[in-house]
Amino acid sequence: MGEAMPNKYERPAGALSESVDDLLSAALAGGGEGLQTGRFIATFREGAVDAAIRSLEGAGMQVASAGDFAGQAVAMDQVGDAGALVFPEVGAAVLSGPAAGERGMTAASDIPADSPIETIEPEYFAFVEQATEFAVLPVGGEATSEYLRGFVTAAEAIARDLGRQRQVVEDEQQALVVGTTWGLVACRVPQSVRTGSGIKVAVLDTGMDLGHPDFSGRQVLGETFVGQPVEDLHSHGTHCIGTACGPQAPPGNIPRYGVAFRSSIFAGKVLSNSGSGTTAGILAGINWAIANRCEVISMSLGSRTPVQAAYTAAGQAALSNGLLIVAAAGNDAGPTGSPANSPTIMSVASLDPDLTPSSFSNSGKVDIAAPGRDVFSSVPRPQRYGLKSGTSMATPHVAGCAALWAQTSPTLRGMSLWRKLQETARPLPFPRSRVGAGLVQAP
Amino acid sequence: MPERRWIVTASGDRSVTELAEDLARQEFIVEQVLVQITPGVIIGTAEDHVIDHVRRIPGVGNVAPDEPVDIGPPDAPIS
Repeated sequence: MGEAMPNKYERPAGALSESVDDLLSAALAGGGEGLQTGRFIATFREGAVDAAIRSLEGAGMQVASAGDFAGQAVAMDQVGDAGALVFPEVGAAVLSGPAAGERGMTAASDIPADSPIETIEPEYFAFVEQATEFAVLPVGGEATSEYLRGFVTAAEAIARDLGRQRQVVEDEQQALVVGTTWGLVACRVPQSVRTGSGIKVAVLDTGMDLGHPDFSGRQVLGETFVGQPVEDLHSHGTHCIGTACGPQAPPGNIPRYGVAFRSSIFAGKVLSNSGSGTTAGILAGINWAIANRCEVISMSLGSRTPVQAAYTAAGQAALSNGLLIVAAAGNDAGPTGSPANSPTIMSVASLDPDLTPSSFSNSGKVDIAAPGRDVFSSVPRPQRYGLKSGTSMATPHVAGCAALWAQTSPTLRGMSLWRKLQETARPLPFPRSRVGAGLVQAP
Repeated sequence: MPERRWIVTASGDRSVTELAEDLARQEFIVEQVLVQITPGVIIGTAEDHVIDHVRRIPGVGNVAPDEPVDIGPPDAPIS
């Protein structure tokens, strides 16, 4: 312990001293569910801690112990090249991937009957429980029924608002509605024949879970501007990309949640895995999206600051190139923040399922509104799906619809696309300062 | 005096590359020149006292400090 750390790229995968983020990145890059860390947990027979340590040492492993640390508070990044770290109080040890593999001590290995080690199992990642109800939808089962029941209720609420003549959602519409998120229904996406094919959509956010099964086979270009790999370890970027560009037919009972399902995805990581960034990184991301001539650039981010000249210049440069930047108005129930407050950037407010402005949604400079409460979309594996709320969720609804409109005609680009989105929006009985031109609609 | 990161938006009066060279001569450490955001955005670091000077250089449109942006943690209820 206390030895110099080897270069990150020389350290073998599944080492004890590797950070959780690095382990997770490696696991996700390896495909599959990314649930195993590559390390193993050896559980000792009762009272056999000393014998187990001798056994591990006898197998040639360098053994560290929690007892080596003050108060048995282990600092994993200080165990150096140890192959095993013993937790004497628990009667178990974590084994590094390479050490376990070299000594035939993986989960697949047979343990001799007289060994002080009782079991060896793979080590798994642990995740915070999602605060929302529908973090994971099992195929069939109660959770899906609950979701669909709640969804039909929302759909009926929309139908009541939409069709004063109709009190009941027509059968055919109900079938359509039950297989799709409320947000897509409200934007009339299911009825659209457009796919976003041929249109490039850039989403500047926390990156993307590049191995998410719903996006296998999709054209995705990723770039990072924050010194971390594009792989989304936060969730926000994957969720926004899901809304703007998610698949037409997700697997199993998962409802359709994405608008422009044939668009090309440009995932620009301008926010770190902890959700933070700076103007400089965001501008670099916009610069990249403009260089790639992305017709739609979606930014679900911002801060409580006045109009920034650089953002206004960025918006203008986009428009001059026939590109459209859309940004979230912000969630402080106050005036629109930057970059959305720039006159050259389209500002998006959030709506609840009853099509009223969400309580958190900023107002003032607002150009259009879209669904932003309890939005179901993709999140990184293993959860795969989750609900989020915010003007961040409303923005990719507009970005996706913008991609569909852009597909209808090569003349709908930049400012003309902005105007078309506003002209075709569904008017709502609220001031322009809260909902702009109204609820965005797909072609 | 500590250095901060700055966002310089060019005015378009001269080429942004020329402007970047000029800034570099004024103790402004140029990190990035974003040419797609016309007429150009230069990102770099400098001490505060250098910036007073930079604002007066021909070709400089606007100078603003780099600011943080935060969308909150993964389990934030609203984002």
